Amino acid sequence: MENEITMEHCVNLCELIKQVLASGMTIGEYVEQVRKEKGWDRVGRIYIGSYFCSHYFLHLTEWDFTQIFTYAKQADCKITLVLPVFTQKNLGSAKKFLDRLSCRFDDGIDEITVNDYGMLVYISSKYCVRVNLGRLFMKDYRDPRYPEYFNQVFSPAGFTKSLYSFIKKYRIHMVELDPTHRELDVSNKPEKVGIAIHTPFCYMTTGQICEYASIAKPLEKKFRPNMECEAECLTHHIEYELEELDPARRVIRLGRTVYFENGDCVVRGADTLREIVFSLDIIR
Amino acid sequence: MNVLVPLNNLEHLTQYVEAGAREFYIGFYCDAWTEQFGAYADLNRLSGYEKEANTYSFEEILAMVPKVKETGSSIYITFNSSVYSEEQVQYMRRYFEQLKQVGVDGVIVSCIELVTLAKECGVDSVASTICGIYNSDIARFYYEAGARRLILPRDLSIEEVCSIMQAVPEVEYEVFMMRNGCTFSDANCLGLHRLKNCAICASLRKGLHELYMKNKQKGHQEEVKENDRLFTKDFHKYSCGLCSIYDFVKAGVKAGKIVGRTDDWEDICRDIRLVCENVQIAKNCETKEAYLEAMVRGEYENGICEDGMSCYYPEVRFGN
Repeated sequence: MENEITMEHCVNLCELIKQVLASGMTIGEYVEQVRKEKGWDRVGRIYIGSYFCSHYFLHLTEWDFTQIFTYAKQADCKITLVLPVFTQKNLGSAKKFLDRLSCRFDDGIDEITVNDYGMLVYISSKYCVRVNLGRLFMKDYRDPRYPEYFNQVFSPAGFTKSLYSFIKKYRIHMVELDPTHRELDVSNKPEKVGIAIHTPFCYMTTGQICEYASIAKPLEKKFRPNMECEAECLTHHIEYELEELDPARRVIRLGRTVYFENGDCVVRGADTLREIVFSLDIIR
Repeated sequence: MNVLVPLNNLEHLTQYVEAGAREFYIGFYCDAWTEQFGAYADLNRLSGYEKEANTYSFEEILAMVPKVKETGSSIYITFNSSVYSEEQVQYMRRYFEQLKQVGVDGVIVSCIELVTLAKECGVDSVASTICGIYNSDIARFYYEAGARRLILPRDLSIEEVCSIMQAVPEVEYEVFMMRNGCTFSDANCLGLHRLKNCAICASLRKGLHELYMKNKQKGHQEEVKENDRLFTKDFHKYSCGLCSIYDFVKAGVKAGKIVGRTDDWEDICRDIRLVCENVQIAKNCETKEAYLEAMVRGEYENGICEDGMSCYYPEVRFGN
């Protein structure tokens, strides 16, 4: 990231909190380790929930949330709740889950990140909370297999007139981006909206089908979309070596999602930037 | 339920129609677009496959529309790249206006920006699977923005499809029916799809990869490896939704899509005939069980039907 930008440092515990707690670390120990690793003065915000998997989200327990909110209060750290795209079968239960969560932890949730238009409308109409557009909203192609495309200074295409109107209509606070290219120029962003950048991993593809969820299933029940699981993603992952890529470029499948590592991505064109760090190796 | 097929070879239009196709979709290439926005600015999802997937220019498409309409069929033009800039959206106005003039039935679009543009231009829009309409709230959002038809993702169950249709009954629905399954979501698969390296799933399949697991017991390791082999080698090598036709016909799905813009036309015709025949059978059956007993599976019967690996909707034969 460019030095002259004022940074807000955040830890991304989405898709990770259960692994952290299962590892025996406390939330505080994990966050502190990320802080040290990054050389930050402090961590201002924690992201919890899930970007990619409704089951991961719905399997988060009150105990999980209590750990997070208790730590956040002690450490004077803000919380962003992240909602994945729920398919039809989970939509109703997700809304009930949110109701319960908001009753129990209302004063702890500083903002909500949504990842689809349906949830954007729902949250904006039902809750009085700041809303962010999550990383699944911004759908620029990202592909280091094509160096000519990847190694450019790239301006995200998604800042359209429609997006401007949604930002105004739904009072959107922040737009999240992935580190899709060698360098991002976000100077075309709407004036009143903040930019958050995920790092070091850029998600490349995702879906409703989870390879790991099928491990113990019989053949004819394998690879069903959005299937019930035993949280096999907590204990399994895949690392790839793609022949089209420099072997140093890490490609990894976590849960339903494939990411490539791009921690060197430079962002310019914003005075302030929120950096959302997904620090995987601390618990591996 | 109509059968919707890709039309990449106008010379076979008659055969497609004779086989039973009533709706067509097609993309195009445009040199002026590429000159304006560069080689990586895709006009549609398969622009990266160049003329293998988009055989015709825009001018040729304009001439094709009336020919297709003469057969009594509908034709839709695809604008379903994952993302467009504002400048690109505005550039598309010229395409939409000309397509309206020649009487196109609609444009298949991938984002809310193009739904809005289509409405402004007086062209019906179909929200592509790239829109990621996974639930009824998202369906309602696209309907209220002006979409006339919604293509539901291929990674939804039949029950979910029907539930969305009941919740938002004001629009038409289209579902995936035959060929080219996908292990990821069309809506969020953001690697480039191009001739040189194909989609990212192709690289993942052929690339070296290492499985990491906490449980190191030999039996578990073997189970994980076999699961991975099935996922990368066998799953969705082909895809078929014939068993779902009864449910979709009864639910009122407007169109079942046969994908495969680069596939052989004779294979497409075979699939069209199979789907059409089964739609008729479904209409005449009073129960799903009767349909499953009576349906025809053609040459697939002894091949891909055994284990659910090639099913778009495996729950029909293999349960939830």
